[in-house]
Amino acid sequence: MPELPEVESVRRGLQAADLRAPVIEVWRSAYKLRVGKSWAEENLACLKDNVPKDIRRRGKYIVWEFAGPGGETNGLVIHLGMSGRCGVTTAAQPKVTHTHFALRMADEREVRLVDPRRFGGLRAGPLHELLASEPLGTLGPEPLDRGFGGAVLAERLGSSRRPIRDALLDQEAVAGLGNIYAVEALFAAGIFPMVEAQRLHASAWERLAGTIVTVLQRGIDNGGTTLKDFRNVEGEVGRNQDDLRVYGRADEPCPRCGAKLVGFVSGGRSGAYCPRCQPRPRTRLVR
Amino acid sequence: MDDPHRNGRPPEPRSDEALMLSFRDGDARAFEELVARHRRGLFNFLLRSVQNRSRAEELLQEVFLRVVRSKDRYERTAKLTTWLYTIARNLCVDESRRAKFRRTTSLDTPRRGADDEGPAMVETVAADDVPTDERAAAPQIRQRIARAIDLLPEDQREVFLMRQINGLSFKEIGDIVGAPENTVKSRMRYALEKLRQDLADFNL
Repeated sequence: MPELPEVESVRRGLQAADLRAPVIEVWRSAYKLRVGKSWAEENLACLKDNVPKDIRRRGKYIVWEFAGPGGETNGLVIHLGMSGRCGVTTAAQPKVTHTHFALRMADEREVRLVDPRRFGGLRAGPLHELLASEPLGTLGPEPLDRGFGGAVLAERLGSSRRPIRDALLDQEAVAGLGNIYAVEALFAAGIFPMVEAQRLHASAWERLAGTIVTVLQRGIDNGGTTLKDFRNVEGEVGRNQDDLRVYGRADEPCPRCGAKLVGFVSGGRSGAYCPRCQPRPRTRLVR
Repeated sequence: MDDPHRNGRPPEPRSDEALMLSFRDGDARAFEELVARHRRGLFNFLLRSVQNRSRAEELLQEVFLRVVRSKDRYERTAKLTTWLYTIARNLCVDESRRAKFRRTTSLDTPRRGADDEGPAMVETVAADDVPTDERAAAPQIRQRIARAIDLLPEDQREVFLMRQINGLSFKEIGDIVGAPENTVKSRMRYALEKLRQDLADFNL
């Protein structure tokens, strides 16, 4: 599933397309997309005749602002799911298979969502309502925002008994982090991924907050991680998969010390760690 | 059968190239040995280039990642150190380009000013055998030397670092930077002349 850097790469691509012409048509396929209460009412028709404004990101969601014809501020939330791809094309281009959504602009350009596995989601409506309701309303702090740090992490996860890797995936604790970047951040911080979150000392939380920022920023700089499906707005794959230190590299050498990396599975998600750089802690508190 | 210990002496350490071939053929311990041998030298080179400890550590990991990824294509055509430092230098060049693209600091900022995360001078120009009576002045001297090195032009600084800090031969450095050996020697000479000028007030 695209994590923060992949979604940010898509957001930047859409922003760079400089879409300013009003929406003249909203097209939606007959297929259902993401299921769940938050996505039950897509309400996409409200975007007709709206003028596109800023495109932001919140966690793993794209939040596109629109100026409605009556002066209201609307929004469109896009979740890319497992295989969703956003692209900008001309309206004359035929829709490829698995296209499920298209916003046609007055300048004859179209923003389209192609999603073969249909785990992606769309939801439109008044912007303030979208921001206040699920899924956006319950998201935790943005790790790339000013003010994010060890104290924020400790406050939200410091009493959890879950393994720290699993706890980091909680979107209400920190927004946008997924399995790949959590595993990478723990390696960079030298923290054993299976240690209970509540055993981390303030210094470990601080270190971890710093490495979360580092690995996310690296992911963005590399245009995201493409393990299988991810493509940016231009249809290009990311480069970060070549820069992953431990994720997907079980049994290969650690790039820091050369020891053999160890694979693990927790909560149904796999990862890897270095037994020397991330030793299983022997003391109650992990510093 | 030959006994390597028959003279009571430990076996000769394997060359870098032999270790890399072993690693290519599946010996994971050989890679650990290579990391242990070159980690510090590469780190110091990277640190002096990017001026940021955590970034240097990141790049160091990237050097070894590239070695791992390329191991199946490795052939013993050149010294391993040449290859390692070529990778490290290319990463530094990329980093420098990115930094120029992103730079937003004031023009008044010193060209390569040290920040809190900058290299510890002791790691790059330290000597273990400084007499006690000279130790008090040592930090100041190291700081001046490090600053003078930072002010060298890029092409001279990398040659100076690879030669003086990492102990590479002029031929190896030439292979790494893609310049004839004589050009490398000239850069080294210019670097030394500039350092002498910059440090003339020190009685070194």
